[in-house]
Amino acid sequence: MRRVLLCMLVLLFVVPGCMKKEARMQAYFVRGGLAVELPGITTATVLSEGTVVFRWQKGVEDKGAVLFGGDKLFLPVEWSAGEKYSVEARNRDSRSAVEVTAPLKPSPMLIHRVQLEDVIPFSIDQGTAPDTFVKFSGDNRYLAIGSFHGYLRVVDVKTGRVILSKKIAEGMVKRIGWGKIDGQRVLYAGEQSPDGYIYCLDAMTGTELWKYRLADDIETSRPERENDRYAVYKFPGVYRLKVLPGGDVVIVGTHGWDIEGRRRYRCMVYRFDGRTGRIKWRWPADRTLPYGLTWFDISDDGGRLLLLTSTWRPPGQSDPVYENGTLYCLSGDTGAVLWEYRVPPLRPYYERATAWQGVALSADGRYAVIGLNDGRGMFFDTRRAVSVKGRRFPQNSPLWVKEIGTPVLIGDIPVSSPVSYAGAGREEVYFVLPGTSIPSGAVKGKVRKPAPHPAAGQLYAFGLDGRLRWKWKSYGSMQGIYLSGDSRWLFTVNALAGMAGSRRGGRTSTFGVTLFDTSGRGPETGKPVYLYPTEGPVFFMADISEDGRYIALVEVPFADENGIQKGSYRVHIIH
Amino acid sequence: MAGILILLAGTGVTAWYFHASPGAVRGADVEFVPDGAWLTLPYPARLRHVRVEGREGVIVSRKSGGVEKERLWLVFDWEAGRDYTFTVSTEEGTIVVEKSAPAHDYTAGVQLSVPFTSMAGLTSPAIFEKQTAAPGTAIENNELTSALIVTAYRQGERTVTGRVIIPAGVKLTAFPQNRDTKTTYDERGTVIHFRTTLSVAYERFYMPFSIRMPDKGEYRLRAEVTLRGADGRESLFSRAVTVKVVGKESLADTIRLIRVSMPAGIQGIALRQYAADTLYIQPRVFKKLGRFFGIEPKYIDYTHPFTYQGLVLENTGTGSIALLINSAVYYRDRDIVPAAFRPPDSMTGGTKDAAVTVTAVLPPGEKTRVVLPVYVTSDPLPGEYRRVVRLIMMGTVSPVAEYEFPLYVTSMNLTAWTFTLIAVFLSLTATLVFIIRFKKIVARMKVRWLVIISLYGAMTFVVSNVPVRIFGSFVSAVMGPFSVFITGFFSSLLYWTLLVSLVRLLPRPGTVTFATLVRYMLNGIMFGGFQLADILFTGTGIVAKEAAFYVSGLTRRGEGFKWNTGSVLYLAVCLSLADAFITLTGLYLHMVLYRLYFADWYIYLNVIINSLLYTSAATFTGRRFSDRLKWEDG
Repeated sequence: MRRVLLCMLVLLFVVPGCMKKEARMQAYFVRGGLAVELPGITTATVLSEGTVVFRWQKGVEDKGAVLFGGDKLFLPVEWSAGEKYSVEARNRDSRSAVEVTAPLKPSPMLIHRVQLEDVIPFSIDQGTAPDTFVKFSGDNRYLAIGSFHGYLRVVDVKTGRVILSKKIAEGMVKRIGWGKIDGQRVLYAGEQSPDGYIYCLDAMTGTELWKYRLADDIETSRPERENDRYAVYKFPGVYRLKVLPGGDVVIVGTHGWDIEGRRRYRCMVYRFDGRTGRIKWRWPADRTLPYGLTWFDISDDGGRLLLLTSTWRPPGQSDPVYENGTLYCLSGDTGAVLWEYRVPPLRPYYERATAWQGVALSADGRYAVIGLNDGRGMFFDTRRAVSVKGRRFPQNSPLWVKEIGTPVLIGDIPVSSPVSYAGAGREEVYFVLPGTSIPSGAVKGKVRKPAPHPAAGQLYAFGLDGRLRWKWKSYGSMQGIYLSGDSRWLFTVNALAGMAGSRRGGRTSTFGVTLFDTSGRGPETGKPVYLYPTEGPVFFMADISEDGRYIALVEVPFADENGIQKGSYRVHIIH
Repeated sequence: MAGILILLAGTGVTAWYFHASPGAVRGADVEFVPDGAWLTLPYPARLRHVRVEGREGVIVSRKSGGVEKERLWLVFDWEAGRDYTFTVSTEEGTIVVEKSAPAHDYTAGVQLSVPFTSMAGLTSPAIFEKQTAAPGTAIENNELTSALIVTAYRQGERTVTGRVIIPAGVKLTAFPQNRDTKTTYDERGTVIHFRTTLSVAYERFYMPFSIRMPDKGEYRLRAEVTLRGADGRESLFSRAVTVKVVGKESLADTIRLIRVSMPAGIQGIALRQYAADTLYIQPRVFKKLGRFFGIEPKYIDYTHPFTYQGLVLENTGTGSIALLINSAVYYRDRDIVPAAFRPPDSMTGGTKDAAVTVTAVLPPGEKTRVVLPVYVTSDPLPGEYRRVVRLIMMGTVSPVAEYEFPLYVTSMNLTAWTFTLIAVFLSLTATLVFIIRFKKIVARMKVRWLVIISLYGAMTFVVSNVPVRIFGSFVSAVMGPFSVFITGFFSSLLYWTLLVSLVRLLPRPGTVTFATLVRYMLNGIMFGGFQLADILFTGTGIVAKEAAFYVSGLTRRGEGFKWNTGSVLYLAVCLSLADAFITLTGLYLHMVLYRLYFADWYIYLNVIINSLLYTSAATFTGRRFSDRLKWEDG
């Protein structure tokens, strides 16, 4: 009997071994080139009509080709739709050849997937997606990942190797920026935690160079109950972090929490000397702001900074100088207010103007764009401010206002579609409206939930003149606007509406990323270059490398209406 | 021998099966939409590659990285009537689907919605038809929000002109605010003329307007829309909606409110163990007490629902009904929402609306459960309030139905206070006595007695705590408040059986204390949590149980206790009363510390089943069980 069992065991291992398939080469067309996948690839040759158009050999001059992780090769081949190409590739064991025809549109190329910690999937009714941040280094060689559980990781984009993994935060790593001190790569990492530290770390070793405790200025609050997944959002945190060309770091420290049913805010904008951590200026200089600051944008040279003070509820306190619901343009060099615009509330439905991440400046700082929660989009020329008697700061006003998602009366109930995200390109500005203000209450998800606002779930691209240039309608909830350095490549992610309850009946089949080429003209304008599908929803914080070549997105696990988990907590690096 | 061969062959086949190359899988469905196609697979599959080919060659060739999907959206331009081949490579095999694109050109979609219930889906077939006629329903003398929506699906400038014809008798109450609209009147009715330009794909012309319907009857609203492209080509669309005006009652009859429950769980299922229509707001002192004992969170998150209310609605009609369900809490005597019940801005979208509104589509002939969150954003004053639920047909102003329910806010509960104070007193006293007299208590115990007590304590943990911990949630989910019938079997019947048999073996004061402490320690170590609140409950339990055994004579008389029927009956009464007191203390401590307000019947049920029925039965089973045990002392 023992012999029989031994034979069975041998069979179980030997049969699959004998049946092991030869690794097949795959070749497909991607943005600006051709992707070839073969484990252990050493050479690749691309031919068109018998002529060699590209030849690559491992270890020899790459000519723009990039080998990822030893088995995925990007070849910079200019291809034309409908043309046939032959691709030959070799690895140590075999030689493969394949004929491929170029399609009309490129395919996304998955470069690496980086698995993060285990997290509890959020669901239709409960929980929230794990807050995660990703940031490519300026030369696109590395990707830094800050996770919900406080881990900072650095991934080599070419090899996929995690070269640094360190738990730095008691809460979460909220924002990250790359910098250089004396040629040494450094990371600035802002956390959301009881202390709300901003750290400067050696990017390769994680060695701490300096840190600053925001809670000393914007206060701290005591921890909530352990099982409250929202608790971390009541701690002080770095809600926006930008590294300037000279190495300085600009951040906003935000702290909003509840005391006896009243919301309290303590916020402050800082400019640090990136080398020493010395504060160059603070805004306000001598006190904290009693309003919320969730986002800002700064021009590429750091000269102008734009932010909007906002609170959902009436603020418990007011500032003697600065107003709530007001757009401020600051000097990035001194923190002085260059101009202000007191955004008029959209009455009768709203009492205040508020924004989420809908604040953007053009790269040169000339134009400003804001998206408001009441559904309005506004466009400003930052040099148009004028002094007005009786006002402390010069006043500006929008060049144009678009009432995209403003309330539509369904009966006598106003339904709006907040402009949650705004972006400014070179010739266009963008607004994304993820959803509507009224969630679905029906428990059964088989019926399509009513979508009462005509602008919900859409991306709008306006010219600087205010003319609608193109728009895109997603079947899911679009979030975020990410632009490459030259503003050519734009992508948004598809998630679920953020509010528990509104996720009911949401389509889970659209999870992923939609990439656009904003330089396109004619019939292709506003058509995606590709859709990259993911199993789970994509978190709204993502990144695109400066040259537009790589996209990093965070997939998060989600339990659907039937309790089935979709996706996992991982980062995708795609081309 | 044959058997061995079969076994070997079976193993080989199994190994082959698990590693065999994938074959063909069942077909997929393709639905063409204006911006491409939706591909639906028969089941979720791990996608490797997707390819779309047409006459022009390869259109899409997409690597899919092995993601698991059941539906996939492919964006590409297709031409009407042409054949396309979809090839999907999955880890299970390859699917090839050939399908012809529909004859539509999908240049634009036109929707006339009276009343406006919802934006039509981007690919809803009806909006692409050249001519449609649809029914609509309205309530007499009600105002309806209506809308004409024209969506362009192709890039390129188009001039859109047209008119909406509203029949006589129907009054236009809110005019369209769009530019280039004009309203004219004649004896046949009201006509809204409009003109606009759409230049980009998915650009939308949205023209809302409100009308007031007259008395009962049928009224036909029409829209004629012309799209003229830059090349001079025209597309004509005609839409008609015949609105049937009915009495409020008849529509209200179509939608039936089957059940309403509050408090309810997140899925809208009633939490029957809690008093209906009642919110228990802890007094500040209780909150502080809770925080002291580590139960109450340091901060209350007012953006989270305090509880939920669940509505079960039935649509007895023949068509789907889109509803807005609106709920607000008012003062009993005036239509003002107290500040404490104002929902957070995340629910109202930052508007000034003070009600919670959710949407729901009720399919015909079906029951739909709808969940509405109930927010308590600060501490309301105890008393009676009104909870008003309105069912509003999308696009209409007046509710189809309005229901009013009481909402009781209770804060101070004298009984709960009394039990809590007694528990605090007893547990503190017991702890003090135990600490002060620890040496004496232990000195009176022989080591082997302590071993036996520990064994029994561990056994009570295994037979009583573990099953309840493992299966408690499941039993509660299945049986709701009646789970006490099952959980009580373990937590009362088996527990008291073992305890009675233990005390029969070692009939002296302190036995119960040590056994209970062993059980408590094991529970804390195995399942975590040595909360201060447990001390209250455990301390009270020890005092009550020791007292019951003492009063019954068992630990007072020791070996002299007669195990005849009369004495056992007296013991059962004492233990039942003690357990009733412990049960009540537990429930009231929950009310005080955990903000749970139990219904009276639930409290009675627990006392009757757990304390009276199971505990008294356990006294007799304990005697019977201990009859078989033989104690060898020496």
